Amino acid sequence: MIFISSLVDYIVGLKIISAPTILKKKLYLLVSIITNIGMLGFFKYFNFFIESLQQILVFLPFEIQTTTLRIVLPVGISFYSFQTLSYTIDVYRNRLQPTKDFVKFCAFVSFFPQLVAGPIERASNLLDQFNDKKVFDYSKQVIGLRHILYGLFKKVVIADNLGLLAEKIFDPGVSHNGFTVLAGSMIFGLQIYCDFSGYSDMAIGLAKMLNFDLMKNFATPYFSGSFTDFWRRWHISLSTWFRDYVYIPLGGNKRSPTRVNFNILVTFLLSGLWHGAKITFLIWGALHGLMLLIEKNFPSRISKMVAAPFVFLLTSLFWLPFRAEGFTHLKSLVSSLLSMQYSVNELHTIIASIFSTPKFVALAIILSLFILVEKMISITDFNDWVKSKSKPVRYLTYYSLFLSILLLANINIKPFFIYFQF
Amino acid sequence: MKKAWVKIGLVLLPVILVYMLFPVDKRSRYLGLKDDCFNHGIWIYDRIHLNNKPVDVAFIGSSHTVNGINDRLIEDSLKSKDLSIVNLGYCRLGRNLSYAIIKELLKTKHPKMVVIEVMEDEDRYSHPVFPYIAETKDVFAPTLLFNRDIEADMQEAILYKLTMIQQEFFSPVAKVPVSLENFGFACSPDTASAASLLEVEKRQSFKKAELSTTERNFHMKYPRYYIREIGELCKNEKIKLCFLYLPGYGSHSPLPRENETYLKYGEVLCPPSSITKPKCNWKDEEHLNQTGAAALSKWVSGELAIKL
Repeated sequence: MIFISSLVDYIVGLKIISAPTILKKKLYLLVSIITNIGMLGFFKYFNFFIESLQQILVFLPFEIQTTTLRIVLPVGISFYSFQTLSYTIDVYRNRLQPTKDFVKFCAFVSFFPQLVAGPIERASNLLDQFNDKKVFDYSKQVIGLRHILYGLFKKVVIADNLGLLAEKIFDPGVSHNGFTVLAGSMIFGLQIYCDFSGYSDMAIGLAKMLNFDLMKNFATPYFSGSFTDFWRRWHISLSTWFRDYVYIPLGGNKRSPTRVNFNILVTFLLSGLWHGAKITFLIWGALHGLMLLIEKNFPSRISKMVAAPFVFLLTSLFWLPFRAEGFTHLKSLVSSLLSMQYSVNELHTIIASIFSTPKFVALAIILSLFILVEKMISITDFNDWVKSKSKPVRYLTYYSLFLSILLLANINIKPFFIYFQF
Repeated sequence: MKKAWVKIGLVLLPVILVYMLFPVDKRSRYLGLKDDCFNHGIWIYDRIHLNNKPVDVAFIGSSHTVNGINDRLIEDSLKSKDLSIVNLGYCRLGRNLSYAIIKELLKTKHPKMVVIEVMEDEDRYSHPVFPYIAETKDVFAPTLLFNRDIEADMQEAILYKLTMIQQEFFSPVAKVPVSLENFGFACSPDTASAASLLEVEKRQSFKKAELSTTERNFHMKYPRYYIREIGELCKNEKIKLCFLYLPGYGSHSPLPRENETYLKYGEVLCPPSSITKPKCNWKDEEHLNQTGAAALSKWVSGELAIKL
């Protein structure tokens, strides 16, 4: 699949630039869009649309036979499809000269550190880096290793341990009280952040060690003072992709207020759908879209300090549809949340069944320190933050991370990144 | 570049040292094998290190040994010779585990004889529990000859030690009482159904493709290395080494394929067909039942009486 996608987009790129008329350019671009979205649609959304169609057709007086496919989703298809698509669109927009080097183009599409879970790179940033002669650079090794260390810490210490709690809380076979579900949504929020940003950090670090610069994917999003700010700091490579290739082509914010609202909503619905062919992802996208509409249409002057906890609380609650196994599970989670049973005991029992008291205390301390460090990192990154510190503080940070990984890494679980499934 | 790697190495050195030098109780490592193979892991440790009863004859092998060698019965049969017999078998295959267990045994006991189980052919790979209980240098500096599992063994050993360290800090395992049981034989009285054994016979009748001598020499490098190491170890400690042939049901091989390798280091004992043929002696196609184990153990007692 990746080869077909690369081959088609490589040829289309060259054809677009040499096409004599706009119509021909458009036709070539269409070939690229149909190929990439077609493959993505077939592998990722075929069953979803068939099942949805079945549910709609159930109201008809006659029965229609449909079949779903049992196919395995090619790893990283959502990421590289968007990456190659951005290449042909940029060539079409005359923002990029197509490459004549097929090997270089394939290397750009299949660049291993970010192939399976991003960041979704733009050709304008990554492609030309393959032309540069790669020489060993000590400072880049240090920067890369810092990113890898911090990413590894986030993944194996925070995400994997919180994941154990989230797995119990979101077990569709068990219903929990409102407090547990509320806490579960925050736990999952932190888990997915540390899991995904941890992967991105490691990918960025590894690429850096190979002398490549990948784009930043996260900027401490849970300290955002608004949803607009949140989407500038969460999965930046995807949100900017949707901004540049969906929202702006739809007219962006240069149309009538109604049309702008429509554009925002459509962009977020598509963003939800990008994650998977499930109604719950659409709900997640719609909720975020709605929040952006509210912010756009009813601007408030609440300070960032006051707003940030509310934004965190709401984004956490919005993770419920994202994490739910299906619509029925989501309904059960929401009804638990609305049940007004807010006893701490259940969560305490769940925690006690997973962690010993010393381990829980250690994790709580580490998590608090992590949040503090994230607050200090703010919109820079771990590398920038740590290099601004004195040598003793820097080494203290490194060894604290090493020690946390040694003592708290969850090594007995199957290696898994949440975003691998997308 | 060199400077960078030296610096990275220096930064990592304290972490590596803390990891390496952090003391992990050996018994805890065996305790980690809880619920595997009749809980034999911790029992083997206790029998070797915490049970004062000597070991004169040790049987080492796979589940064929665990199920087939009734050490209590053999000891009773050889009462006049006042010998302590022990079955240190551990389920599954991998010659490196025999080596690891013998090394562990020699730390506290000095047997007169070690009996190593052999089957129709040697298994070419590492034993799955080897990285958990073997000495660090045996895991990290094993033979490189056709050692397919070297990487997995190292990874398992590192992660297992990490688990042990974490356990030590956050959830120490409740102390399991020392087992003073002298014998390791574990077997079921069940008998395999005639139909299932008939199936085995049918399967066995299809002749397997034989490896050429060159292929054999290539594939058997790994187990032969451990056989040689075991042989050397026993020779240096002046321990008699024997091999006991314990094939599964319906085997057509009267002798193990690596017979010549074994003969370099010790005698090969082959139980008579009166023990291996009757269906009523088998629990399943691989393991003897209590009747079969009793018959085999009596025969083994007779052999030991001559040899010791």
